[in-house]
Amino acid sequence: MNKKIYSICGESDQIVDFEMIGNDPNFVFKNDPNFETIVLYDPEGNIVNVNSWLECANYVNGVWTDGLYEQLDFERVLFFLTVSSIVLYLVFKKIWKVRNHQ
Amino acid sequence: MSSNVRKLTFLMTTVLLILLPWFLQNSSEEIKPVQIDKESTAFYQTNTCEFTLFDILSQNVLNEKINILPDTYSSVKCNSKINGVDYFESDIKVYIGTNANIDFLLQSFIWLFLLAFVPKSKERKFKHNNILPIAITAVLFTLHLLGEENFYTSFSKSYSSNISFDNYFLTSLIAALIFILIIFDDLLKDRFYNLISYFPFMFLFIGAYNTFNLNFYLIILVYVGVRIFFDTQVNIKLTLLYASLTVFWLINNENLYLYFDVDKLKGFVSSSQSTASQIFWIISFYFAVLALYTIIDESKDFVNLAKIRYNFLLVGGLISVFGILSALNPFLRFLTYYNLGLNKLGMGNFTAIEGNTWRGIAHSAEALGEYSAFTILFSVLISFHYKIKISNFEILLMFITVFSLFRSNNFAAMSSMVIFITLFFLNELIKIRSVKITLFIFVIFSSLIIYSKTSEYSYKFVSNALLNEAVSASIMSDTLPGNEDGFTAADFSNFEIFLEESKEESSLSSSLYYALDQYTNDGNIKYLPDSIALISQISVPINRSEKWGIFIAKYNPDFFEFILGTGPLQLADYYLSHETKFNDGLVLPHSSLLDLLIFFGIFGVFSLLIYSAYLIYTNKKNVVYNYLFLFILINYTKSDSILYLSSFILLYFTTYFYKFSFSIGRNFNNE
Repeated sequence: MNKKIYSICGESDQIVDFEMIGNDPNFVFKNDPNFETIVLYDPEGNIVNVNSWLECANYVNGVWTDGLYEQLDFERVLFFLTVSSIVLYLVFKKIWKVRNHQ
Repeated sequence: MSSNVRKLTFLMTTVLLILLPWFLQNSSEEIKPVQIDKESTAFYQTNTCEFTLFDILSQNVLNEKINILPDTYSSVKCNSKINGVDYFESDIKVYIGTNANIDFLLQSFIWLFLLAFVPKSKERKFKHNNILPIAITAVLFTLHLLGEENFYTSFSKSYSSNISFDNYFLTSLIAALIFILIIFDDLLKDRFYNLISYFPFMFLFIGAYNTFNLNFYLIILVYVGVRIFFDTQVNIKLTLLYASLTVFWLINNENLYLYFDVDKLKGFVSSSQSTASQIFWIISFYFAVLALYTIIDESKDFVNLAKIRYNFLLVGGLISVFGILSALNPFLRFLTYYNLGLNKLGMGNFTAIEGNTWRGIAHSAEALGEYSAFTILFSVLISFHYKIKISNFEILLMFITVFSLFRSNNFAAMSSMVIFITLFFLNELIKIRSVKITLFIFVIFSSLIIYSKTSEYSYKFVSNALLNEAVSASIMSDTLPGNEDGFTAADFSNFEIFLEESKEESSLSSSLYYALDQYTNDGNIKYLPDSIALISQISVPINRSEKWGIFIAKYNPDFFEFILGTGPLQLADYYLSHETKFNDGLVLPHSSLLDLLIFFGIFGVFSLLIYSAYLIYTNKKNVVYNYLFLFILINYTKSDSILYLSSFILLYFTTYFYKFSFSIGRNFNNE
């Protein structure tokens, strides 16, 4: 089973036949009252609430995610990391210069 | 810190930069990688973004079926991970995620660390601080990213042309550029005068970014150019002339966001015809040329010819070694491609491609042949003329370079190298001027007579060959009726039929229409051979009639474009504006003169030819300079080398080589 499914939907010992679910247009997911509803997002920004582990696994097996990891703006992180590196580099350069002059 | 410890630290950091990104990511703990074959393709297609390059290494290190390619559309999260596997009969393509933002930082830092290995020279003092040059370079860089939208949308999911602080794709790249330039500036000051001695390494570390239509050296040259612009007195007349041409090029541009697939020209040609992109390339070209000229001019007293020769040979040897390593293993091929910044992946085998040529890690076999032949010619001329001792190691490197030259199968480079070496020794041995001239004339005429006697083609065929190829490449040739055997007027060189329609109604390019008109309607000047037939006769023995014919079929300028061109490094208009049978794929003009004609028009071509003739004339006693310069001019006339940054810089280096070779009595062996 895909690691991503366990990480988003939680642990389970169920073995899922995704192909069978996909091929059955009348397949209905049963709600699991013990399963805390999870909100999933697709790349276009659509939202779906899943109410069972099986339903969740089926969606995550496709392109849906919980939106925490996938939607993280890595470019933003990279931007702040780079800016911090510039500041640190300039500070160290200044200190190095001062030390060499002394 | 001692020099050796510092060098070792730099070397280790560079090695870490090269290797760490490919195994530093978190990999799947539950599922383990398996050997990649036809059966496991589905496994890797299901488990994308799970394994790093190094995860699959142990299972597949000797797997000859795989071909590792960059997945240039990857997110940051999946950078350096296996993002897909496709099975083909010939090979299994494994796609490794590479993200634009990470590429820019990582590749730049690798090459910056390598720049730090250039030994320090006397410090080059700049009058002003670097804030304005950094800002201008950053603005140009932003213009480029915005102007080549179609190129970047195909490389990054996050690309956006919105100018806002929230556009972190753009802001993170600009921040990265600023960081790179700050570090580069610190490296530059102490190494400025030594840069030219180490420029041959540009043929090994090509510097083309994986996911950018940019080259690392272009960025730093632009930056140096801007610094110099504010620091020294530039040539006002030339700058004003260039500014006037810029205005013309911009007015003439249609501002189209086209997409020209730059392929192996990546990093030194525009992929768009937008005004923003055009401004970037025109201004960048100016600053890069200014930087090159100033570096060469100011370094002339610091240049060590023995060191340059050693570096040429070392790079020649290393190109062969990396070419062989790339052919042996797909992992090494991918790492070589990424870390050397190659324009395209190295060859995956030793078997020859078209025309029995092998290009190794070079972008083309032709460029590899030219570099290798130039290296050997340079080494021989420098060693004998200036009497600079050559070590056994350098002789070994020369033999390895000869291997590259033979494998590249560049006959023109090989033969011109042999001719110039022969002429050089004749010139050194024979001291009587009249004997020299007689001998040179004899060699030239006997070569021409031998060619004409041994040529299998008729005079009529070689005269028509160029136009035959040109009309065959035009779409009009498809509409011509054929005889009972299917042959058309084009096959019988019946060119008049192509001129039946007026110039405005014809689907022929303006240059082809003009050439046909000149050829058929007796445009001859008395006592001179027909110019079109003459070019055709030259093109046949050097195997260029087809390529130059395609050029004539495609090249469709209006009058002013023909006179002044479309601007430096602008090929999109030439490629996409006129329909021929060769609108797909990168069919280059195969002559740097034709490339220059597109960029600067006939005015630019003639100006550069006159300038070249002037340089040759004023340095007529400098045998080494003339032979090297002529070698480059001849070879570049039949290749597109001017479109590759490293080869462009070699042309520049050779053009101004006379500045270095003035002090014959200098003791190079002790330097």
